[in-house]
Amino acid sequence: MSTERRTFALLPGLGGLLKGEFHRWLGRRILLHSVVWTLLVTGLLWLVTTTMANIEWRGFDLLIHIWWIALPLGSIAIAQNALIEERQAETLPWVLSKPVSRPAIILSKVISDALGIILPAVILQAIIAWFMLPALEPKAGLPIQEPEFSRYLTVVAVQVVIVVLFVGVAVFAGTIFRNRGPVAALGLGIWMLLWISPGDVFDRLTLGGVVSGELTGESFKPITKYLLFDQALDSASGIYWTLLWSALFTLAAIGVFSREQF
Amino acid sequence: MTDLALQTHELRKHFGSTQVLRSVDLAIPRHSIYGFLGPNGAGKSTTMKTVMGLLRPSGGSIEVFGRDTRRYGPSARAHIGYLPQHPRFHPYRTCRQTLLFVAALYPGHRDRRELRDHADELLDAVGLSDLANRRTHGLSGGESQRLGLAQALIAEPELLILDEPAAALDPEGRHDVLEIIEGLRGRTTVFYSTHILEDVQRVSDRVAMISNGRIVADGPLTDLLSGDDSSWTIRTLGSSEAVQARLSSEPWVSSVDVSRRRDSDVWTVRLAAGAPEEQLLPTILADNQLAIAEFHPSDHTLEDAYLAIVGHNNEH
Repeated sequence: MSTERRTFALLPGLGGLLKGEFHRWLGRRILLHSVVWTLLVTGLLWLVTTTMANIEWRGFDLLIHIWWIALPLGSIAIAQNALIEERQAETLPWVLSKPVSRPAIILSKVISDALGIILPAVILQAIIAWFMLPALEPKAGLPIQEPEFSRYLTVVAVQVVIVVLFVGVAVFAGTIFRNRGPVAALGLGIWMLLWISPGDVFDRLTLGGVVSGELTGESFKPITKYLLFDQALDSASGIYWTLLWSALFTLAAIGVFSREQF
Repeated sequence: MTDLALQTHELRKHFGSTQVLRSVDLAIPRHSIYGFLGPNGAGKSTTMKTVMGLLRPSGGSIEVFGRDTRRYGPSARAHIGYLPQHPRFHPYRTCRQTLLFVAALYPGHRDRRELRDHADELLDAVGLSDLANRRTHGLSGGESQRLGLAQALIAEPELLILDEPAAALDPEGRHDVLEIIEGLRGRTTVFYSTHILEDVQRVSDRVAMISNGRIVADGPLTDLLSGDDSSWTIRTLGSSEAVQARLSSEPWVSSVDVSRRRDSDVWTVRLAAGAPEEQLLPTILADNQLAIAEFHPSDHTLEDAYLAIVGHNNEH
């Protein structure tokens, strides 16, 4: 067997760790997640649109609402396990005794969990909704507005950003806390804060300016107005800032995890 | 290229005010089988975990094949296979998948089929071939230990660090582990801790003893077994009381222990440093009261050496 030792890359072990994580996701797990997300997102979308007469939201507007509730909660629920599951199984010291760097472990968790949510919960549902919604006849009687494809792609990209943010938050919290309760609490706190979005500065520096609404009395989120009413997305900078926050949460997770002893 | 597989210099580790490693100096030559002995809590596992980067040293240095592990942690670990004291594996993987997962973490490309064959060979060697497709969460303690040894070997490391590899094993498993270690002689450096002194005496060529966070003995096994004092074993027939009294009164005799075994007495006579050994036999035979059935230098066991060295250190 060839055991050539090569000079190490920047993140030693990342390839092997990702291979291991993807191997875990592939097969029954991703299939099960796809079915669950389809029942949850597409199923709810179909059910509400076709059976409820007195509903303000329908079609793509409703899809955005469902995503905004399901994606943060789903991301927190899945990513909170990333480190805590390994801690409870006491497998981290074993993995760390291999030629892997600690940043590689954190990145492998963030990347694999984010993809494990994005593919079945965002991409798959976006494709189904794009073809399914125009074909539905809403119970409310009003036709479903069909958005521009480019705007729809932007909305889907924002959902990806939401997943990346909450996975980053959950993985970071997993480096600080030893059980799931506080990890979930931190994620839920950030979710509520974005929903309420306390002010203009907050709007510009976070996703608050994109996803806030309902709780503040607005029935349509800014992103819905962007998608369906051709309005500009005033706080688009919040999307880029959120990518930065996600990166910072991941870096903070790497920093905390790198100091941990086993 | 250095001749040392692993070297620690004044390695220290404390947890709060508790000093676990005070100053550990180890120099483990390439291709040696190095036993690491010490009582519970002496610092064996802490030393190994610190070498593996699981614990941060409070001071001192660690080099693996001449590379400082603080600067080159992962690349140093690319040369090491490690079996922790209580191995734990991802419960959702099978035994074979566990080995393939570990192999993927090491640098270098390996042919997939070749790797799978190698994994199966290792599972066979540790007696787990029947459990290759069993998930690891169902394994017993002994089976986990066997899988732990296989995963430590999967990347064919140049240095194998085993923390009590035979602790959870039955006699058959222990035998298998020793066979595997023996089979690595001359190819791989093995640094392993254990409480089973008999195993160390069987396979090790060098031994280090740690007590209270310090190395108290370190060297070739033969040196440790030879001992410092001169001790003789004598089996005699006949009345021994008078001879025993005469021998005990000699200034060059440190101690005389006599135990009765069936029809003979077995004597252990320890001589002081510089004693005239040639005087021992004539002194015993002086009044023709005894017949000598056996007369030879005493065999030192590792247990004698261990108790003498570690016991002495603990008293201080």
